[in-house]
Amino acid sequence: MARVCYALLFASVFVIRAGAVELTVNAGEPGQHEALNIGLAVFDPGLERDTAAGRKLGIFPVIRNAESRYLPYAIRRTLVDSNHWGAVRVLPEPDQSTELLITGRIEQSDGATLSIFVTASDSSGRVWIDRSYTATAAENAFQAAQRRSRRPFQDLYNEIVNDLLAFRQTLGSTDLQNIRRIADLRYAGALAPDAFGDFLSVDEQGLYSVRRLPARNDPMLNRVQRIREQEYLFIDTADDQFAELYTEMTPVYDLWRQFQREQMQYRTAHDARLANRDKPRKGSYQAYKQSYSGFKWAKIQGQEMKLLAQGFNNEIAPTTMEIEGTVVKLNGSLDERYREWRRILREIFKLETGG
Amino acid sequence: MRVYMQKLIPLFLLVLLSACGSEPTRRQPAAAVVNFSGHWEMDYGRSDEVNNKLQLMYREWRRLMEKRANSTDRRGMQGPALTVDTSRDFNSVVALAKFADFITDSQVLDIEQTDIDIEIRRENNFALTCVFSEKEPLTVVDELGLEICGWDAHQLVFHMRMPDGLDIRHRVTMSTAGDRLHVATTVNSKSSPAFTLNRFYLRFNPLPEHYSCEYTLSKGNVCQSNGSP
Repeated sequence: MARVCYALLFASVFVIRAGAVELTVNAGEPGQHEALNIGLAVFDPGLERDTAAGRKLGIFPVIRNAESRYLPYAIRRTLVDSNHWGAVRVLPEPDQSTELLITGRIEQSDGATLSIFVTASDSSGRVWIDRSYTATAAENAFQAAQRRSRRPFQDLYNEIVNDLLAFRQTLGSTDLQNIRRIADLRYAGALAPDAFGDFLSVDEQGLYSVRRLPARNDPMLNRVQRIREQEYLFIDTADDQFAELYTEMTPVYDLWRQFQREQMQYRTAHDARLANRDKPRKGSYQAYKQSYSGFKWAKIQGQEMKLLAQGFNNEIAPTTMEIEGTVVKLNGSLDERYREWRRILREIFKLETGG
Repeated sequence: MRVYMQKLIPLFLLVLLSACGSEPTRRQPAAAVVNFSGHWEMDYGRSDEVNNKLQLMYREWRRLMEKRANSTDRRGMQGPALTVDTSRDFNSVVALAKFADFITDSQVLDIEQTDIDIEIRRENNFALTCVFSEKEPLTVVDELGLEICGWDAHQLVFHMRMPDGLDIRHRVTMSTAGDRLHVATTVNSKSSPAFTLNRFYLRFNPLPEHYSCEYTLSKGNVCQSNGSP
């Protein structure tokens, strides 16, 4: 029930105007219990299965996949800038034992509008945010981005981060402490179910609560902590590379979004011109030409966008490939390697504990 | 009789080519049996000249109308209404012919084809693109209209229909020797019979380029030399 209420509380959809949302920044140090660690999973790119449908919507898979890494990192930066939180990490895939896990799905990203469906839930299963965020970029957002630090769509990131803070402020210190404990115990329970499987209870709504606590100097718990630190090592190494992608991608991405926006504006203006023009006689050469002209320019525009997307890919691909290939010498994509890394850590843990 | 046959042949050819304008079928697998890749320039000698074609059609049209008028006169019926309609019909064919000429005036085609798709880049026009499908021909229906493309035996067909009913089919065929390309374009509308214009292209090899270019978003085309020419 609590989950439903929280979801309803934050279910409304608002379109954020550019420059409308200021980030709430903590001038001092965040309190020990308040500074929850946050994991941002790489976003769902929201690609249409039907490529023809995706084409109609102007979705380019290469760019959407890059965006699915770029946007969590942009939010991560905003979370860090707000100075209200503990460690903020971009995760190759969702980890339910994170103190606060943020996932997202890109619903629209066309230069003019950015829309992301964001879900944030803590380790106890309590949903903090479960709604769509939509923002429109200011007319000069992309040029201005070259001159000042405010990023296009920064208002959207600010809105998400402010909402997280607003929710956290509704929780008491016991709630926050429990979130930390549950996160540790969920991780420990997944790693060593025999030892930690019964420390937590789950109600019918899927909400976790602490049944009992291990001793503070429990050697098994220390081993679990050490394994978790190793896992963070992998994530932090990947995080450096997300940072590199972000830095590399930002100017190109701004250009792409600017071009995309211009193309959309051109098309709207072109459609308006066509609608206002006197209609030539049906069956005349002018009528055929006008009918074809709308089709032709829309196709040319689509193909121009494809060329720009290719240009984007040519520029960003080496960095993306670096992310995919140099973190550690494990095979597969980043998320596959993350899974493999976790499996190896679990093997080590088993060997150490004689499991 | 010979003159009569000569006049009938263009009309027969017109009807035959119009009949060719069917939807792409599934007679061939998705993997292309013909590779159109390369650079092609228009062969003006063999391609239809739209005015000549219209003149031939007009003569044939008039002859048919005269014949029809004579037969109605003999039956004692009046014919002026038929003549007005006929003149309007022919004007719409002229409009359609001019339009076919307009949309097929690209002198050079650059074609890139892989196992899975094809892109036909045309001068002063959008590129015709198609992703080969093993199942049904690729169909896109949106606010622009309808687009279908796919193989029909050894021919590649691009079919577009605008929302107002204007219908365009490009049927691309390559000669057995692989040195000629034939693009038969049939345009059709609700207010006119179909008109087909044939364009032929000859393969040509552009001068070798001693540099290679890559397009990037922030720097535009970035070219580098491939070594000494």
